[in-house]
Amino acid sequence: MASSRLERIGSIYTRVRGLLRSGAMKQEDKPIWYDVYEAFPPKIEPFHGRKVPDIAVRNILYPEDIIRAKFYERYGSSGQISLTNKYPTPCQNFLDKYREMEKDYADENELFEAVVKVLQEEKSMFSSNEQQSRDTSMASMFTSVNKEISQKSKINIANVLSEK
Amino acid sequence: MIRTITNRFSWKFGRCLTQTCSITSDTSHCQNATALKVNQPTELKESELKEITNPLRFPDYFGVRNLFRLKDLFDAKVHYGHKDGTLHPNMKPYIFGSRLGHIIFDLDKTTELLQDALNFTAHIAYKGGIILFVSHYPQHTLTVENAAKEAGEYAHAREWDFHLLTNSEKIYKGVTRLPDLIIMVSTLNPQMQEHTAVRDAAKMCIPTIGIVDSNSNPNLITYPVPGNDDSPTAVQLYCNLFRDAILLGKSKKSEIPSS
Repeated sequence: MASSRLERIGSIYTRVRGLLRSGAMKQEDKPIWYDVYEAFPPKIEPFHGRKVPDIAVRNILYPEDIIRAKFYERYGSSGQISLTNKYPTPCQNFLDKYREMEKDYADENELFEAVVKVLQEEKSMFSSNEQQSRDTSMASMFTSVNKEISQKSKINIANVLSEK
Repeated sequence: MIRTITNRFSWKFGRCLTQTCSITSDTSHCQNATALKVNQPTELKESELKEITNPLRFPDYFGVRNLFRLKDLFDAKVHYGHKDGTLHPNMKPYIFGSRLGHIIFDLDKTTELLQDALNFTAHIAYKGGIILFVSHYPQHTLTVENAAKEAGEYAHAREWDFHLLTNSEKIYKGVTRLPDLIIMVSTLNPQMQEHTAVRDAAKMCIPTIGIVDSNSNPNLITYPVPGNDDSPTAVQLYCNLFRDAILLGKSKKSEIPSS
């Protein structure tokens, strides 16, 4: 069966079409996909040397990013955040509260401090932060395991001595 | 919406007619057959019937557009690309933007392209083509192979041997039927270079459907689908969708008696 292996010239469709037109490929040898391709051609033809569209990649930024930046500057990140976790992050909790209280304050800094105060009273932000770090942070896991090991080893030595 | 429903209806009607015709021809009672044909309430000729039963005339014959929604893609983390330093310039049209140095895909465009790719897959399956799933990531081998097994098709999710497509007759020691469609779950190999199958499929005039991440080149892929090709959730979603599209195509094929 005739075919062309020059993948840089034209697309698979144009090459097969040329072979069919010239009679080098018989109609009964036509590939299965040919009719489907004709009926549903791809949005952009798959040419090897397709020209690069000159589009600038824009930055995705939101107005609340300023508040996020302020929050992280002061309190830092609580460590790794799991993408499967459905609960809001401390920062997100802070943002929600910020939006709630936005109407009552004119000055941004005053508002920020007020939100901090409210959340400290609720202790939701900080307790959840602590809990998360207790649950998830690698360092704490290692320390807890280390403690357990040292306790066990102490007990063992004591037992051995008492038996003697 | 209404238009597609009417299309569907007319198609189903046409299919019933073809079935009755085939039954009458089997009985070989010519007189009865002609009498039946006269009694049929439509004036459709055979050529028109063939036109109606031709799936290529319908924009979405197999209903693959209902297989998923944009939210499913979002939940499977399809929109996450690589860091913007690794961005391939040819991927720029499919990108929504860069969030703090990470590429985010435009899921509206991904949805459209994925629907086209699924439609193409279903048509190839309907026509009895061989479909090959290709991936080179060890962590996705099981997912990809299971999807191919469930769809009753083939998978090559191990290390790609050179000349598998281009010199198949020597390698398999005989005349070989190459696949009619290659679905690539990722178009890069673990060395971050373009997978050999992309070039070889283009050489052998085999259409390819490829999930292209922000660091891959979509040029040679016939139906590129921009999206995350690393996350297990995303790969699982792609595999499920292509498996379902193939099964839809095959089920339609078994419904219609080949004439």
